Amino acid sequence: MKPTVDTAYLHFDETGNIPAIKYARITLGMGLPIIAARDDKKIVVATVNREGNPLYSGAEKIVRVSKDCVVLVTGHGGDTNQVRQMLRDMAVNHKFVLGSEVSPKEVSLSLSDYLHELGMNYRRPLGVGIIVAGFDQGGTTPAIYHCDVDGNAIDRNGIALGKETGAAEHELQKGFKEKTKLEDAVRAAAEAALRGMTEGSAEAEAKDFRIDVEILKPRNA
Amino acid sequence: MTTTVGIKTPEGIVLATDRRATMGYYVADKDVVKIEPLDDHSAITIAGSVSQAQSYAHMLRLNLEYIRNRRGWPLAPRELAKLAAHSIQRSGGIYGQFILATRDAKGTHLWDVGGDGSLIAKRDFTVTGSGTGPAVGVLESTDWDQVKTIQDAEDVAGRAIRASTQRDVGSGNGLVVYTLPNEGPYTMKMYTFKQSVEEDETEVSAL
Repeated sequence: MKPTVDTAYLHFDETGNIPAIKYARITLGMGLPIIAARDDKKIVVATVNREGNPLYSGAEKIVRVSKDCVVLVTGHGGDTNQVRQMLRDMAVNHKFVLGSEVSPKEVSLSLSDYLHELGMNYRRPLGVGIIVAGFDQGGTTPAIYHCDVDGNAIDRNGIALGKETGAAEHELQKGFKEKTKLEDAVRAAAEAALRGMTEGSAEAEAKDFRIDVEILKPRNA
Repeated sequence: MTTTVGIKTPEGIVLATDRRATMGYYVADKDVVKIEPLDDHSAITIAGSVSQAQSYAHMLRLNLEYIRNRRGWPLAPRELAKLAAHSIQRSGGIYGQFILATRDAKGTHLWDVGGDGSLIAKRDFTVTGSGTGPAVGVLESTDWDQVKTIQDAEDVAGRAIRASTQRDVGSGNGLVVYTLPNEGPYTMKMYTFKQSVEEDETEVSAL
């Protein structure tokens, strides 16, 4: 059935890009930073959230999906809610059918399928940056996946999404190269992103934000 | 119809079944194999409606393959057992009974999967099918302290199936034995019960 609205933005343009995907990436780039990195034993995740406003406690950026999997989301608020609910439904269904905790790998595959199907069904992509982190293979093996808005799932050792991604990933890379303690590298990345966000900004100061760092360890270690 | 037996030992699991398929009172086949290996680490016995059971085993086999390929590691024994029971329950039930043998790095696991979708983890042994009565008699009278090895369990399972083929019309013709050791490849052996005709020299007298 032919859609009743103009869907040109959902097709490839003359530059080989899909405008809707391009715009979605802009949206998620406006979100507060989310960062994750792993070694062969653990995962460290960090988020930058709003602080200091008595009327607002910040959004839930780390979503616990199962005992083996958390998902970090940033970007369009309504879209992150959609992702959050979908993942929790998935975790419950998985547990009901197989009796086990859904793994990051399975979450990333399902999420990517969903994100890709949106574009194939004349629906706009979600403006959400998604990092899936946790432990594969029965809760034993650290894994981080980046689920891109175009429906791609990529295995990563470290990643930052949201505002000031460049500065954050630069710090992460530096940490990996210099073999800095993983927690310190991730915190440094979050601080670099926060600096980038607030430097020269008239309306935002560092004290308006807080950095949350969480260390994830395998359930069956 | 059918008799299936599953026995768990410290060395691994033994599954055994008879080889008869029936259509009412007609013996439709005498060489049936009622144990379906699902992959190198699991197998299921089938008893009941052949069509439903074969298709069910095939579905489990494909799901194992699909999930292993998709996520990169196989279903754990408990996951496979839950899937086996859940898929029956969601389908509204199957006219059949199943014994599932699974294995992981920690060892082997024996499960009883009911035709209603029930799931019971078994510590020692289980029996299903129309020949349950004679077979379970043999199993219940076994001194389990003496059953330590896979070979011991094969002997007991063989006797149990043999007993059921003597007294249950739905079971007969032969024996299939599958072994799943804690480590190493599984084996499947098939036996046929020979029918020789010998003169009975007992004196016949009127009552």
